[in-house]
Amino acid sequence: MEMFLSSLFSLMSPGPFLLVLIASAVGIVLGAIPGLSGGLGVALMLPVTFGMDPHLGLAMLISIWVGGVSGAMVGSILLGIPGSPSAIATCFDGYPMTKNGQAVKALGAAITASFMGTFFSILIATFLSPVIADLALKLGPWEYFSLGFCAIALVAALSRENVFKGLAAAAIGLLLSSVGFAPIDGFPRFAFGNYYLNGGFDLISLMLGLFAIKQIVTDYARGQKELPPVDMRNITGFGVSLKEYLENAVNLVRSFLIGLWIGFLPGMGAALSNMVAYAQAKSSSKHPEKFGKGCVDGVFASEISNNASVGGSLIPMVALGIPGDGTTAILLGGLMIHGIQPGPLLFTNNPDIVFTLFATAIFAAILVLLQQYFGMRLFPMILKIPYHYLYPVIIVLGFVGVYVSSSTTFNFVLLLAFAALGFLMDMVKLPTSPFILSFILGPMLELNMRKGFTYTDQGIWPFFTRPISALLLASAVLSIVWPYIKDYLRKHHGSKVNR
Amino acid sequence: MKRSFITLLLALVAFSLVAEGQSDKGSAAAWPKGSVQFVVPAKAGGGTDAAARIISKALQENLGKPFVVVNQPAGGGSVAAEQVRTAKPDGSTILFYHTSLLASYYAGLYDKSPLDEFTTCVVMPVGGSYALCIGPDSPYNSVEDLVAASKASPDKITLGVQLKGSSHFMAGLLTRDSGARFRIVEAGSDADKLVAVQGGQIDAAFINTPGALQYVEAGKMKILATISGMPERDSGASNYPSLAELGYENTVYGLDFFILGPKEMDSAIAEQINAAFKDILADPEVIDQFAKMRMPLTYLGLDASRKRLMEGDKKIGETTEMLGLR
Repeated sequence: MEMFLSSLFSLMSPGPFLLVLIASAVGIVLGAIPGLSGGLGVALMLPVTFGMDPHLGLAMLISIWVGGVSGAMVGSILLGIPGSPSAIATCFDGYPMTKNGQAVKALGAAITASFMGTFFSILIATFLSPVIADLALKLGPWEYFSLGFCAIALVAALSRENVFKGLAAAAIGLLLSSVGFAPIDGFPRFAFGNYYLNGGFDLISLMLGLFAIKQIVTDYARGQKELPPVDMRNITGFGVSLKEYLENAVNLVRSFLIGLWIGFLPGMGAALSNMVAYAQAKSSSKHPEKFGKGCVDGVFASEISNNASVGGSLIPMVALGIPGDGTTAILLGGLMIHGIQPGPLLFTNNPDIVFTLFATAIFAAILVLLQQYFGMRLFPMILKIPYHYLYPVIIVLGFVGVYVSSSTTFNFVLLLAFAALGFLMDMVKLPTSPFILSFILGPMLELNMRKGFTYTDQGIWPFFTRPISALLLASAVLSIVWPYIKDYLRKHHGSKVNR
Repeated sequence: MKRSFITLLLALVAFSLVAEGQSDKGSAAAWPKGSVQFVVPAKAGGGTDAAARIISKALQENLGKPFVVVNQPAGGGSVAAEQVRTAKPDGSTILFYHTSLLASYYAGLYDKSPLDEFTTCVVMPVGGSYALCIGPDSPYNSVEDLVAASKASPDKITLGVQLKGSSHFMAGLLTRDSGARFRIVEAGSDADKLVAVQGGQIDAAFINTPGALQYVEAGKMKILATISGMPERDSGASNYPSLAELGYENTVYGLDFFILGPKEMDSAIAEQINAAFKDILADPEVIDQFAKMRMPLTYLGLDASRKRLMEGDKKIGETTEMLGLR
């Protein structure tokens, strides 16, 4: 505790303070630009920390990361284009809110939810890391497979009007994710001898094609439509009333826990948690019909869960030396550059590093909150930019983002192909979220399934006999069939009453 | 109008020819002429990337020309390798990678031989070792125990490796030398293997020694033996025997970083690249950074580099065949 406070105090001196302030602002900007992300910023800045004091270097990287996860929602809400995969679900209700003139309220909800997610998850990570980290060791490939399976089922079930379309979209996602080197044996599938396809389709190209390019083409084809002026009247504080927070208390806590848990699991992070939390919020809401039309509940769910994954993924990293997601993997690399060996002894050997990490994350969360509070009245100015200026800028940014993340021009072809695919899917009303989620999770599902088969002689059985795995599979099936059972029961019950 | 356009075009062509000729003449002997692309088939942030960045930074300081690290992880290294193989052979685009490229070639994941289709500039054997690790409650206390147990119940004792990665080759060599009957399973990267061994999902795994030592110290794992490119035991983990020392004489396998250029590259350029590496690998600051990351690099001259790559190529070719990876 003492160490934590002293780390916090050392951040207050002008140098580190300025560093955290600038780094978190850079993170927000990177997060907000489609195709770039805080994770990318961390990777790019990593070499700069070679020459820095390890504490300062680490503080800088953490601040970029926290800023990036928090900033990703700006594009989602104002333009319907997620700044990074961690804010995909934020589009679903955030953008409709903007269309309803509630852009500032959506931003306010997202900003406060982001802050709560980071702040509380870091607090939990600070005090409980050593206690709960060992949980991650208990899970084998069977549990990971079942978890991924369950997440896809939950999100597919979301398209309740037509579960089959949800499942069909998920199937297309799985199919596309199997392009490239197969996990485990590395056999190139569906690559047709093309080197660029050996690694599979690039997620950034897919996301930008599906959201940014498709959206702009669609809008252009439909003719320009004016967004309603942003309603700035009666906006005090963050534009969200205390009553709305209270009404969403259960939603917030549940989404927070989902984000924390998914972030905590090695190899999974904010890209998954936001969609699972959104699906859960919708399916357990009293008014699911409002979701997708500009319901603040959806923004809360998505934004608190993706930021809760920040603290979640720090837990196994700090306590076990195992990265919770892609960005923590880079951070671990950053520690090793300074000769700090991550592992179970990190807490004992380098407590100063651990506490710097936590203190910076909390500190950065607070600074991000303040920066966004003032930014929130400025961000919507983007909407006042005429389309003929805004759209070309977004398209160019999309292409730049694709190139920066992959350094090949081949991915431009993918970008356009995915835009076309998104267009087709819209025409036949296939939902995007199960598609993109199963695309993200596909390789992980397959890897763990095949691992699970090879680790024992019993083939498929451990998936059903290991309790956690069985529980997850059961809830996956239930989430798909429950609406039908409920309908059946209601009819059955109803007919009885009639008689 | 048309004529003036053509004249302009001709003038431009002539000018660029002259400019080209001049720059060729002026610095035919010197590498680098301008900025150098350091193509690295790994994501930013990993160990390979970190090594490339330390080296490129040192080269830039020494030679006064910009060295740009280009991360190109697509296609398991094949895209990066192709990018360099088809680049202009003037030393402005070079590949920084390690032994895995040979393994990819022999496993059929990349169809151009790193030995024959590229110019070898410098090979840098990496010090440090891998450790054969088991869980803290495992009943085995020596490699002999583990091998004996696998013979007693074949295909039951799981040995985690990254398929077609270094650890797979190590497992293959150990199997050949000991006659063990392990169930060799995919367990992912070192971080994944650490989780699986501690959680008891697999019985044993090859994990990089510096990473494993901490877990041993914390009582969460046991190390039975180590393996590196040399038969001697790892000086960084001198409490543990090397597998070669235990009688598995051919179970020797290490990682080499190397710099490759396009095949048509002039040998004088390769010579200069090699010389530049000699300087930076002797730089105390660079040595210190690699020591901190626990991957000390050794410098090899041009002939020694070629010899080393040839030996590695032969060994990996044989092991791939033995493991049936082709």
